[in-house]
Amino acid sequence: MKNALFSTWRNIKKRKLQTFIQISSLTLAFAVGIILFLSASFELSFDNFHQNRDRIGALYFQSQEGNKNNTSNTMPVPLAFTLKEELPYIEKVTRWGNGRLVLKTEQKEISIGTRYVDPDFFSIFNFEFSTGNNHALDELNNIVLSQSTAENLFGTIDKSIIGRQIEVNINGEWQNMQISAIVKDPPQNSSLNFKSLLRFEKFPNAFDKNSWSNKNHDVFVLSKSPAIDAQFFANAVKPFTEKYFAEDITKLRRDGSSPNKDGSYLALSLIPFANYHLNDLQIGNGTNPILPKLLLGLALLILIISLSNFINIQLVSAVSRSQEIAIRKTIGGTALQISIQLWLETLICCIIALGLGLLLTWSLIPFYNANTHYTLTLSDLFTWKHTLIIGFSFLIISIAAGGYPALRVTKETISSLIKGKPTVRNRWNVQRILPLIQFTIAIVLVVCSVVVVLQINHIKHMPLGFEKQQVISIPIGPKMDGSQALQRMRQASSSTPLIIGVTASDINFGLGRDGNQSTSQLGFDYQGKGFSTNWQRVDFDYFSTLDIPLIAGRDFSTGRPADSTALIINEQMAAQLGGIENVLNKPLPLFDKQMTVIGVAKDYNFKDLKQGIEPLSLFIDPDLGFDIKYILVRVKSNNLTQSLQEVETLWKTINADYKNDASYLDENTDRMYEQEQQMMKIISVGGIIAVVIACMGLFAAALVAISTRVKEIGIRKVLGSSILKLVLLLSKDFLQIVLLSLLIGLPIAWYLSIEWLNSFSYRFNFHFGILFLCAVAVMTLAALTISIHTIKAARTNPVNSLRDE
Amino acid sequence: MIKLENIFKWYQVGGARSFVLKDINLHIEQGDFVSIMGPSGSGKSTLLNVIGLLDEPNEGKYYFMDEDVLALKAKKRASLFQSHMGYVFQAYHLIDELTVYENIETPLIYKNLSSKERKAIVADLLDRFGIVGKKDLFPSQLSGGQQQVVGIARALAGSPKLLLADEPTGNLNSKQGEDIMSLFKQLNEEGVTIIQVTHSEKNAAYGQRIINLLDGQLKDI
Repeated sequence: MKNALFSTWRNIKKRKLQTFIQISSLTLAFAVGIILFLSASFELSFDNFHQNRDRIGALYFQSQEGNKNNTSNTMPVPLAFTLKEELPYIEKVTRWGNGRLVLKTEQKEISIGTRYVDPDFFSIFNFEFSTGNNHALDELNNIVLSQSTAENLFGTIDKSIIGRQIEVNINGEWQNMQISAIVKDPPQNSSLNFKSLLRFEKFPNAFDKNSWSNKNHDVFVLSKSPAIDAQFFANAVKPFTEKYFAEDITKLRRDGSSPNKDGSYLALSLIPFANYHLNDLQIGNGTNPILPKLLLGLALLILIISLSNFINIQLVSAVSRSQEIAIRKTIGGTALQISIQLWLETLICCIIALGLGLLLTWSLIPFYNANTHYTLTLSDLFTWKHTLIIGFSFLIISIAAGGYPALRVTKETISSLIKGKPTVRNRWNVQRILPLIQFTIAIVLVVCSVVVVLQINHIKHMPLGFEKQQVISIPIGPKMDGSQALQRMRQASSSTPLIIGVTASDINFGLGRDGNQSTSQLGFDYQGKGFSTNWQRVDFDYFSTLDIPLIAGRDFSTGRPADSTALIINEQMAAQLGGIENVLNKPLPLFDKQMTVIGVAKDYNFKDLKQGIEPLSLFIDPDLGFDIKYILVRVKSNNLTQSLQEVETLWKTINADYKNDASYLDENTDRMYEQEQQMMKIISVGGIIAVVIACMGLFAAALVAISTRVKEIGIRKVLGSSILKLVLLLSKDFLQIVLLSLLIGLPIAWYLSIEWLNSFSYRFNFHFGILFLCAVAVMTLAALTISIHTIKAARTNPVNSLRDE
Repeated sequence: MIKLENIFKWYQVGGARSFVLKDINLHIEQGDFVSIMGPSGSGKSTLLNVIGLLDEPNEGKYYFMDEDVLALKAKKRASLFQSHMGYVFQAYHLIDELTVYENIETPLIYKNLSSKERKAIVADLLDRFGIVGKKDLFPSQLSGGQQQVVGIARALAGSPKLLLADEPTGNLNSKQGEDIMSLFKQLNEEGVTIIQVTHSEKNAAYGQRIINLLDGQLKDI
């Protein structure tokens, strides 16, 4: 062992450059691998702290509308408890409604998000109590605070808080409530997050307690079986769905929806809670289930690249060490003993790389966290499970990295080793296949990164059909009445030349700083057929403020009182109803009213660009139950930051409770693509690292390969070969490999890119030129890498290389 | 000690066999000092390699201390080699990365001796060959003669009964060569059987017996 240590150290010193390349590429790969592994394992660890995780399910409806699979996880108020009564499979249920409220004590007043749940919430899920127990929500007037909320409000989480009365403002109405428990903040890997919990009975949207058509909250169920069975539930619940949703089903059939796979038109289904975080049904704040696979796959690919690097360099340098190995054999070393020694040397290199890799990980994590939504720490790595996985992978890596080259070298006979002649090789041996694999992976990653970057940029810069750069959106907050706030804002801004338009809406564009995103949809019957439309409450000047042109009819006008029941629809909606001329100035039966279409607006993207533009109807009627929640202010300015501050100052005079969550619309629309942007960053950085490591490998391989051909080069030079010809000759072998890897890699990259792009409604023009450019770039990089050696070798004086001993 | 019977070694060149060793029959007793002589390409080194188990003949029988070596398994053969033979090369073939001390120690490590035993043996050898002062130097810091002395010390580390030397003085000047040869003679007197390959009549004269090879065949024994 001591011997191995010394020998390793001296070998490192002797082959500084090669060892440096080996260790640094492995270090880089370890660091990247660990970070990606931690990210993936974080994604996969979601909700694993609930003891009953396997018994919990989240409900959703499934139907086929317009040949599109439509899932919706909002439920009507009476559903949860009716289901529990009628379906013995369900043991417990809790509803989960979303809202905001204001809390007030003598000292302080804060506005926070809240969730409305049922008392069984605490026995279904395991959120750790700081003080209190599972019965915290047994009383109707109880409120449960999260630890951070309690600290914010009282500066302490002392037991004395329990039982205190607190004033709570829900939807503008003050109520007295009693604090019954303090729950530790939900962990990072929890799908369900809350700042406070209230009884569902307080849910303001649940005004109609017996309505089966007003759907506005989630429902979670706990099954009686030890593992929830979605299929069993789907079958068992069918009669229930048919009984209570007969009306919805009739409508779906009438409107020509196609049935679900199981034959039903509307299916109540559940998704096991274990899959709740990683689902592609667009339920909850689901993350694409591909993400952890993508992260792990990327980590694996980078490890493979750097491992083949290591093996390749080890193999070529083993050839130059053949004499040493032969001597060791003649003085009595068996193949096993020598293999073990060589492997130990590798192991030491790998351990050094792992140590450096951990160090690199430690220094990269803050940077990584800042650029993604992860909050990783290196200590995450030291759970026994992670240590085991990493340790095991490390062992495999070191065995592969050292064992194979060692075995191959020691297998050779002494006489061939001592003559320093490498044995006859077939054309496609490992030394060629490894770089082939490396560059194939590298080219796939390069193309994928380029495609992702181009697509995200395409989306970011695509005209959305409305002015997004100069419009500020201000969330009004729960304490103020929307119409009043708008009126006062209009008055206040009339005297400011900076502001050239003020309007309002009930939904935000993109994802604002308040983190709320909502859509309203409405189905209605018109001329004997069912239609559905998105539904948005706006106010006067909406179209002029946002620069959305009307292509027919007119805008809402303050001078016409009848406009309160008027509608402006978008082109999609008009097309669905039979064209602009057929619908303009015609009444549509909505909300038991006849609402007249007075104008048609040009289509604009009111949702994210993964979806196409859907039918949309806009109205200004304040009496339909859709309150204004966002004020939209258009500024005319060259200094957008300063304008935002000025608008904020103005807004503060109207709403003292303001919390700095106003933002420009382009910021909001960008925020919708955060997941994609993160993926873009991870993939493109991964691609760059892969190429760098692959080139490092090529660099070292070329170094060794050319050093064995010094004599040949000398002879060729003496015979009159030009330097250029020599460089080409020496580069040929390597460039062939790179070329072949391009041939293999490009079709794979093409296929993957097309698959990914198909998830977007709006795609950039992906053509072969991009593949070609990537290929040329990689090829050039490889050629440059090799040329460092080839040119040097070709320029050496043949006198030096041909001199004997 | 060594008995070779009808040893043939050939290479396939095109369709024909090109013989390197042709029907070698040889008997070497314990305590002999044999010199193998012959022109270049006569098969001297190949014969030495066959005796030293570095190479295998294509045909024939080889008995080493009454054991049929060629019938042994590779593992058994390696242990036979470890315990009974030492090899000295023309080009010394020391391991460049190891010091003099470690070079001598290496075969002992392969024999799985404890570090205490190794220390004792290596110290003894360093002392015996007068290279104690050089034990921490690397081969590149030594002269050719000194390197060869280390090579011999290393070959003797496993206290072999048989020492095989392939032109041990080939790369040395005459003074160094003489020193090495007198060392060999001394070793032989202490009971080590020595087989050396040499070009030099003078070196051959140190031995008791000369074997002449020509085109792979023994000449006038």
